[in-house]
Amino acid sequence: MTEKPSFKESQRYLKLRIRSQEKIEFKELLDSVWEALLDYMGEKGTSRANPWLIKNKFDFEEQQAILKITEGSEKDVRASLALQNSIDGKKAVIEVRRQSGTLKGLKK
Amino acid sequence: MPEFYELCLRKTSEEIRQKAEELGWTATNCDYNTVFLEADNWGELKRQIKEERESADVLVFEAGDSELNRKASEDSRLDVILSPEEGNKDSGIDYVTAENASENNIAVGFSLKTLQKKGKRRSQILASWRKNLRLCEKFDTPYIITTEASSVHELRAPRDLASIIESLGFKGREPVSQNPSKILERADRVNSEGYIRPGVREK
Repeated sequence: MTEKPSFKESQRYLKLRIRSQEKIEFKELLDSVWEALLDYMGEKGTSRANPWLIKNKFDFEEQQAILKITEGSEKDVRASLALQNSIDGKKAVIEVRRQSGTLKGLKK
Repeated sequence: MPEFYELCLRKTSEEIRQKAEELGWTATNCDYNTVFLEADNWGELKRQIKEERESADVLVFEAGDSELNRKASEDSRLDVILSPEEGNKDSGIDYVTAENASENNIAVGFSLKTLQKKGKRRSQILASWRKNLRLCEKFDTPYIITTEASSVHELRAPRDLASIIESLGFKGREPVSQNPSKILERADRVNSEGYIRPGVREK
């Protein structure tokens, strides 16, 4: 499917770090992120944020992940994730370590 | 007095017609013949369009993958491409499809049935709707919203449907009023006395 560059919505990338006693799998994190966003922002707000947890950027060892969202929804998404205090029944915290408009910008 | 039209009901009956009138619909496909087409490839779709176009007042294509949707948008014999986001990871249409649909007066259909799933899936569908509505507004592509109701309980009032589109930040009145009425105008014109084919009338 072709996308006109001028029509493309601006994205933001959030670098997430999971603090937990047990290591969390990608699927568990994915479900938890969606739960957090839907609970706080609702279906309409979440649709506006259009979140996407990038699978091949998930680092199981370091417990880091990258979440792609649309520009303008960063505050609400951060707030949603801050309110989450468990993942799949295990005590866990999702921290937003860094935010950037590009994937490359997250590496700095 | 504004007029509202519901063109994509799955089931038609006297009970549904009465309830629709009570809710405020001026006309539904209880009064017109709507035919739904489903196809996996362009060849099959083309054959179905050829078979059904003469007898149908409203021809609705139940959207497939993005490529098939694009092909469908190039055929002016179709009236509606319904729920392009269904079954696709993306929104189902792109700017080329929207532009073609606009040129061929094909409306993009948004169905309440796809929003019945809750939570994550509904959120994703709404994101696709937002994208498709942006495309429709940008390229002046007509769009309609329907309940796709197959029973009385699934019917909704026109203003309620309009408010779903408006809550997403787009014009809600047109998809329940002006846009479906333009589709029906074409059907009425074809069914009128003296009509032979587009641009040709009997004297």
